[in-house]
Amino acid sequence: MKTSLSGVSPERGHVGSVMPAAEFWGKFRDRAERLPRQSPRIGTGGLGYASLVAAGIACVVLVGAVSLTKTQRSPAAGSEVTSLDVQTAYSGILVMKDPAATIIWVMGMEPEDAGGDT
Amino acid sequence: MKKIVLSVLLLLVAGAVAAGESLTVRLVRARQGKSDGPSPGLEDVAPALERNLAYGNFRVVASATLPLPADGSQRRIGAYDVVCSGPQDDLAIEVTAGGRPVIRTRVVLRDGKPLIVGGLGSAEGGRMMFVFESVAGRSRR
Repeated sequence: MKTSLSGVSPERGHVGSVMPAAEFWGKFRDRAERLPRQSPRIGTGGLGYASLVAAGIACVVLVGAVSLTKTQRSPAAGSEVTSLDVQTAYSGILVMKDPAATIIWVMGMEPEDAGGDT
Repeated sequence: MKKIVLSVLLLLVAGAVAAGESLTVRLVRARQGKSDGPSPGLEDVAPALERNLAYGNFRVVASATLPLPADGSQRRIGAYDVVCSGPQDDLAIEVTAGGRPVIRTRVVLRDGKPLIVGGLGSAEGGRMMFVFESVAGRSRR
């Protein structure tokens, strides 16, 4: 298809007013320098992704440490008595280590006044 | 958005740190004879009691829950006064009845592993025992 350019005059600026490349880019740079610039936000202000990731890792480590501490306090071994002082008359002490519980049974203790339900 | 995510993470950490241990103390009466069924509140230790003791009927008489480490305050549990002090890995327990000391002991309590100290005589028959257990989670008073 053929387009006629006869009706376009140089005064109207459409054709014929071609600016040299160096001049064009010079003006472009001048205009660009006058515009306000926005620097990238990551790592420069507030909480960027890097600090958020670091906080997340710190949280995971801290939660893991707390869980590990609690687990180490819960080994498979049962609870145990390190000392026992029975201060009434008795005939003997039995220690029973069941997988579900440790039982310390003091035999032959006399009935106490306080044995009731109240 | 970032602040919300960070707040959630901090709350998770705070929750994990603040969730402490608590100590439950149950006073149980053991009697001869067959029980009517599982003793309420004793489902966790009833099999161990039945396996090891010459009693067939166990019933919770009273109970209390204390924070750990125990602060040494005196608690009335049934007709006994119980004083617990210290952390669960070196817990001192003192039981008195009618103002007279009965048992004084130091124990290492492990989570989910109850410690039963019993054999106390009762004027109403049977034998009394204390079930001490540390439980992970927030303490209840």
